[in-house]
Amino acid sequence: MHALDISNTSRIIPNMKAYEEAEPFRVLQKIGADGMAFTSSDTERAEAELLGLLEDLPPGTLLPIDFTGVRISSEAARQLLRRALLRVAGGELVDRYLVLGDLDVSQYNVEIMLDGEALTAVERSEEGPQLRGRVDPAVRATYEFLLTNQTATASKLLTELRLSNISTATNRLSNLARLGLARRVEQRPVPGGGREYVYAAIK
Amino acid sequence: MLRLRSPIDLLLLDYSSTSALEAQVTGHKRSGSLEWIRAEAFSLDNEQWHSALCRVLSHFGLCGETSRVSPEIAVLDWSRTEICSAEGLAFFAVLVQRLTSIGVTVVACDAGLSDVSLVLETSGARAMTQTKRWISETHEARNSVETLVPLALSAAGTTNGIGSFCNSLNDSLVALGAPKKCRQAVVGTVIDLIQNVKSHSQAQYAAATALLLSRKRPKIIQIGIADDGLGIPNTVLSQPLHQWLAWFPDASLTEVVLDQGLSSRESQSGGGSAHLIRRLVSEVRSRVIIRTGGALISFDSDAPSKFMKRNLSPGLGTQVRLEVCL
Repeated sequence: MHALDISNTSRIIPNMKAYEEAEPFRVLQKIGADGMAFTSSDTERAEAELLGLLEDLPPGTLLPIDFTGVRISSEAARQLLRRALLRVAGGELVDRYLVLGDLDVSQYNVEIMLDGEALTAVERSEEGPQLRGRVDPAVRATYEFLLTNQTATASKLLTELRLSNISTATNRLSNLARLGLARRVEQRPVPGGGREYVYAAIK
Repeated sequence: MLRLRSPIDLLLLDYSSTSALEAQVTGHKRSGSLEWIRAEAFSLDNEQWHSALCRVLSHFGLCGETSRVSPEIAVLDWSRTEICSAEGLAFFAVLVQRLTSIGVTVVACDAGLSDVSLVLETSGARAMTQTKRWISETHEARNSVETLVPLALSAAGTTNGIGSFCNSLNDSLVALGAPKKCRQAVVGTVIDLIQNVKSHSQAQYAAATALLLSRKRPKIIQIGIADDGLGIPNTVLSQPLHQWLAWFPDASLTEVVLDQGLSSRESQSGGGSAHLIRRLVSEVRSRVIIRTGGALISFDSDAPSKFMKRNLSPGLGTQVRLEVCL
């Protein structure tokens, strides 16, 4: 098992705004000592705390959810994560981000839940950041492009992924941001007029 | 001939061997005051045997309908069985607890094969039933099955012990060198199956165990889960919206539950475990057999998108076997 990066580290991207990483939300501390979460009632309290915490976090904060030592069923995972992910993706919790960490055995059940609920989340796995759940191929390709390139603009995406037009590239990036999988880290002028956003992956 | 009308009469019997006991109680089997249950029937390998077991359990009022007087004594006989499956062993543990809870005197006969006898010992099955009478047997040597994770038993909706079962199963799979993907799929599926027992079955007792079929190449592990709850068909029918399905046989109803994700939840969203099982058989070389109520459903990696269904006599609760090639 690998440990999560811990607490209040800023992910500084040169010349751009950083996002703050909050202290991990440790699921084990919110459920029974044996780390088992079978039913939705086993994670009800944890969900309430998670939603409260997300509301209290300042914008631009990334909250890692640490599953170290936890074995969770898909029903308990649904109770714990569904509303939080929907609020992030639905714009109710603006500019807050979630990543899942150290899922280990729980990865299977969490992925089943995400797939069943048509949700997508980032997992910090041993192989690096991975998208879990129901992932549209375009979303995956765009996210992986951002991971490889650190940051990207629509014009860069248009060129590198050979997309048909700039609107497609812009939509891909804004969709990724809407899902809570990427963040706008800079706005800058473009030659010939107008402005463009620079995006970075949530990881 | 002795009349076995009260438990105290049991003291007069000769318990030196299974055959000696059987010879003494033949008349009482006919009169219905005693049921002799062969342990082969606990397994889902032989549908006819298992159906016969379900009919016998109806005599105790545990499933189906019966007009007979409930027997006072149950003899659970492992002496002639060559089969020791994980779901059968889990069902044995559940059955002993359930029969005892309704006032039936349980007598168990040890296995005639050394490996099955050892599994009964190392799985904790014998200790779990230590207050009941065990009849010893002479053992014929065999070495084809062993305990991987001992029995975990829970009572009345708790999961005490079953949580540590999941952890032990995970550790055992690591020790056997199972790939991470396989381990995640197997443990994840087991966790969701136990969640179903806890959330939906209304079971008094549930048990889980894992066995290793060590002589098979590649090695095979069997994970068995059993409960004495309502079963999938009755659980779904408890949701008023689905009550019109009551006319369908259990196998058809279970098929719809697994295929369409019907649930006893009011939200109607369900079927997570079915999705999980299909994914397991798709990703890991495995077979899953479910007997719930009177339905027998099996999934196999050879055709992951399909499943086979059979109708059996209505049975007690649900039994699941996960068989995984390592």
